[in-house]
Amino acid sequence: MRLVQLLPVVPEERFEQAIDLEWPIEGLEPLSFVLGRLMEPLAAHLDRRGRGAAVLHVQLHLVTRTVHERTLELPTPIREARALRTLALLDLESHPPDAAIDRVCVAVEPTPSRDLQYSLPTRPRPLPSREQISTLMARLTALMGDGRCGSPAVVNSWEPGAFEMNAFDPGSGTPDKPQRHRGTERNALHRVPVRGSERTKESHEGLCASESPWPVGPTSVSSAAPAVALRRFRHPVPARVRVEQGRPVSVGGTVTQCAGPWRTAGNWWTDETWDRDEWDVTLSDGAAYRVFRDRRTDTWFVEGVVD
Amino acid sequence: MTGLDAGLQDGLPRGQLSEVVGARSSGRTTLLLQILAAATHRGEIAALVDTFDQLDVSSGMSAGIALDRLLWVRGHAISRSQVVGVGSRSRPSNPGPEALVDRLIERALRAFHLVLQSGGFGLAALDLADAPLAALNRLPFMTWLRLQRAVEGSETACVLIVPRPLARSDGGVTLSLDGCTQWAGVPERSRRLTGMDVTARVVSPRRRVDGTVTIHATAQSDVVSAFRRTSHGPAEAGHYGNAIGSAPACGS
Repeated sequence: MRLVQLLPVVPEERFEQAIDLEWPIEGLEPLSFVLGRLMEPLAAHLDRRGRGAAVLHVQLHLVTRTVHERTLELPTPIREARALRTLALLDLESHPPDAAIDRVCVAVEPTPSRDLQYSLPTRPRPLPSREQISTLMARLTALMGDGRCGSPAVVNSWEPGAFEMNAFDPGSGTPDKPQRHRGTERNALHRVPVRGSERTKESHEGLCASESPWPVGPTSVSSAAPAVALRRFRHPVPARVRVEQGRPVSVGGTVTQCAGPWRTAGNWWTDETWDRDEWDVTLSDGAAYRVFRDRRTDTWFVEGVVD
Repeated sequence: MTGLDAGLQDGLPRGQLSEVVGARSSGRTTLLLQILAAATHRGEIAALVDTFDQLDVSSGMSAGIALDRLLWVRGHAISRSQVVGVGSRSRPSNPGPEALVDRLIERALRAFHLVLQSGGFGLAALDLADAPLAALNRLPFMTWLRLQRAVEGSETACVLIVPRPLARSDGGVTLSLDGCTQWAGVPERSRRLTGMDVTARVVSPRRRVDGTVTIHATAQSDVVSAFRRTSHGPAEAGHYGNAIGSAPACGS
């Protein structure tokens, strides 16, 4: 006779809550109370099991017999009812249902909760928690729109002004090693995009980074030269430029100094090609601009202000 | 930046509203990026609310900003086509450019308020440098008082980049900038823009660090800067938190 060990099978726990409303509700304010009522037992359930919500599903059954469903991937496991409700509401502000609601269902995909070890501080100042950051990002996204908030990043391209937006996640970075580019004089004015292989570690001291306590004396700081910055017009402004002997002499005002041209071209194999001659000019009022002539259309634009 | 750092003595104060004032090509963006770079270099996180979406990312990287520690809140750039299209005869119900600019500024202020309320940022900057003066004048003065209230008592150094002095709080500083571009090369074909001389006037009655400093922001030559005090004695070591400078504030 073969003995088989009997093991109890535990059914997979489901973390969801639902409520049927006696009267359909419209608007986010009454929905906020309903969500709060659903999230509290859900958060308590997660807490009992030592789990956190990794993905939040909100299903709104509408009076039109359709289901308005939203799914939020949370940046970190959360089991605070208030934070979950706020995140759901902020998402629904951006994507509201188009009819009244008569049933609300909330479900989460659980994951082991995040364990934090509180130890002696290793940073000069503590960073905000991920819950705080995710709530802030949700609020800012609801206010400014999708893709308008995050961390900027340079891209591997020679295209002037190219960049990309990443999710803001300061905890994943290496704080003491900022990416710093030591370039040539032209590079300092960002004529040439930064290449990854040219990034070097450089101590950043001076005005805003001295480590010595009060008072900050001249001996405690280095004399690193700041790079002159460009204030970029995201949409280059068309300009009326008068050219004499191949050089711009008037760009809305009299040109007192000018340098160029620097020719750049790229992406000729795609529709997003560029081909232009760039100039640095100073006008009679003292302001310095970067202007360029689009060689394909022979039109002039102001790209930004040297500031 | 050495001279300015020495002039400010304790850096930009935390929990106070400071401002960087200047016209175009006065060096205000260069200074802003240096401040952001210093904050991120210290391991703090910084926020920039960019009202008209004018940050040049490669400039920020050249300044030394740890980009992954910078929260960039981008407003909307106003293109010429938008300005022309809005308020045109074909769409008379649309607001004019004036209302559009007002709306963008209001939205940026709300975003800035959210950042300040969330806390945890070492530095928060609001870029209103290219905002029309008329639009800034239309803002109720309570706007700046609200910002002061939001930042008071926090560990955040709050900086406004504005075309004219608007909102320095009692313990904050005003850096009034004036810039002059530097050129090199005598023949026209070898002419090039090499950098900028920035003169910063520091105004801070409470902290008594008033003075003027000249910064030679060139890419290759050494920086020569000196702080010339114009009034008052040395600043008193008070309860102001540090900001640009690094050091933890007394009691923080």
